[in-house]
Amino acid sequence: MHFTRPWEEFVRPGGTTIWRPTLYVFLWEAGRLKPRRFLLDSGADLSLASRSVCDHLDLTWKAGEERILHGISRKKECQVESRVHAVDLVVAELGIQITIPMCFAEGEAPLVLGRQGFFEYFRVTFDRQALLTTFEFVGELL
Amino acid sequence: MSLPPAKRVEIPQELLDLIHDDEELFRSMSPQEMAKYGGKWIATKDRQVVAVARSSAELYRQLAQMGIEVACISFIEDPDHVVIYALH
Repeated sequence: MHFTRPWEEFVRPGGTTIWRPTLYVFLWEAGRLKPRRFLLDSGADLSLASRSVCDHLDLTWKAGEERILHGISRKKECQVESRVHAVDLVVAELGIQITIPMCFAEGEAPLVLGRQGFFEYFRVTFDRQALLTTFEFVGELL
Repeated sequence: MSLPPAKRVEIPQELLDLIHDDEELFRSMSPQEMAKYGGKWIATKDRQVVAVARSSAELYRQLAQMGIEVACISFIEDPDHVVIYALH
């Protein structure tokens, strides 16, 4: 099982274009599937979202595994507290649900799909020349 | 964390349509339109932007006030920013 998705075009005010790989997934919020668009980031160890998303998944933020997030700045004041929870998400193109660890940052954070978990279910190939991402399901399916 | 096997889920067509409409809406936006959402959270439904907010929490509040239970939610990066999310 595999599928491809075109990268998305973001045009900057100066006219230059940035292409970014994204993926739509569904999250279970209040017992219903809700579509969310994530940035796909092979450089991120973990997937990421805001604490408010955690709240809407009916997860108790504080009950998750504590992690401190660092960006490129190593300054302590740039660290962000977060909690990791196992999250069920449904990949729209294939209609399959996977369970991955997701880090919920205190305050605001973008929607990011990182390597741990997601890249174990999928072999992900980025093709900058074709502006395509290929997702090959390599996990176990019930 | 050991990962459980994946399982199949039936996705209602109206939810797949929401995604399709969201993609179409973004493709139809001019750079100027896209720029005004930079750094913000947006929710779309029926090929329209139905809510815009500086935070996801505020976006959820707006949707609840409007009685919208299902919408496609995205965070639009500020077009002036270079995006590097490397979590360690």
